[in-house]
Amino acid sequence: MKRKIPFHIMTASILCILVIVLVVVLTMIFSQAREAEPIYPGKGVTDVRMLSDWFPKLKGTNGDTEVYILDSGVKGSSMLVLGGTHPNEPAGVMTAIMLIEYCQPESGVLFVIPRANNSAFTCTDPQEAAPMKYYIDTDNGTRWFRFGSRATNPTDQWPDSEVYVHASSGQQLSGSETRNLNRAYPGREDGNFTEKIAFGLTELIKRENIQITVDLHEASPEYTTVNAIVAHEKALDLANLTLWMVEDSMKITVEASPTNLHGLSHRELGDSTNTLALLMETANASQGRLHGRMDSDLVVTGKDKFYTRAYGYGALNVDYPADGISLSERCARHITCVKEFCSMYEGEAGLISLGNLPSYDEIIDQGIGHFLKDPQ
Amino acid sequence: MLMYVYLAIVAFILLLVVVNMFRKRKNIFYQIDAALVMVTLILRLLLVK
Repeated sequence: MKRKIPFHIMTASILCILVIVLVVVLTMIFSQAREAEPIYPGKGVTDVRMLSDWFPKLKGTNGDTEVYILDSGVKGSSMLVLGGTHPNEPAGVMTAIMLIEYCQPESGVLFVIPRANNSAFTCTDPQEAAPMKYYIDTDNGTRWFRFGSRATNPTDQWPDSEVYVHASSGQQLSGSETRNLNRAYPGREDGNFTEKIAFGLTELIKRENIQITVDLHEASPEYTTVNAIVAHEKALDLANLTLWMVEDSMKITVEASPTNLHGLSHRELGDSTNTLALLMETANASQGRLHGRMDSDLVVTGKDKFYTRAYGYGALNVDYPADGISLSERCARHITCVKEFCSMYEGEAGLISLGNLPSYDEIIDQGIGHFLKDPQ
Repeated sequence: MLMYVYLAIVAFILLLVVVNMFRKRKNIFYQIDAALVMVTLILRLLLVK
């Protein structure tokens, strides 16, 4: 006699099949986030290495990342530019990519890391409705770029501790900062995943005797440290000289790195290496708490009606025009200051000159896309 | 090491949810609830994010 399958077993089985289908579809969508945007090295790039060349423990992990070397062949100083410490701050990433694709140094060596925290590019921050990509028009087509998270992907480092204790100082921070690369410096060889990435970057700076390190960031327009250069005390002179050179083009301030705030690049890299450690912040509406719909347009145009209103109420720390603060303008700030850091630096190892870079006004007028390689 | 402990906990909870789903219930919405919980647990177990 044929036995009838109970109704609740049948429905549970059907639901299990649906769950499996849903998991497969979601896995395919999420795995797209692991695909990195293409970068087309320009004439200035002489070598592409991996961070694991300086710290082999990173090899084969999501923490390993590309290091682009632009060696002029003329004796001089060296500079490291870090983009993508926080992949939800796209001006840093785009500035690094523009340097790789467009810059041709005339003296010294330029090291560029566009995805400093490569793992954080593979996810977005929870509950932010952030896009996985944003799009920029070049002269010959549209290119896409990855929008990531502020912190390392939890699948690479999990779970977070309740309290994050910075190893070398004992400073206590919120547990969510455990995966923040810019709270992990100078890093630890046997530390957690993010501390290992920080250690790899510190090793690169030490072994290559990098004279200037610039960590490119963005902050929300209502944040206190924005449109600013934050400098370690050893780099304050360089930051102030740069300020004098660029203040005709843009409003910008110089802030001294707090001595009691540990784990940040401008503090720890300056303390633990010989490099002049600098960090830059531009105003990015997509990062703030006040913006409306979050999409690629907001990331690229920086235009948001709620921020315009907040500016009218005097709630912001930067000038916020009605047409927003575009990615081109934010990159123009970064590029102009990076160029001036080099111009103003007079080190024993010699000068460093970043040739073939557009001016602030040229980037604003023609857009960042004009200075990126065509996707073809 | 701690991650594997958490994954073991996730796997155990997932097992309980599946077992509970197949138990006799009068209301199908209990089973739909369980299915939705399973999706997030499986994704976490597979380290998909």
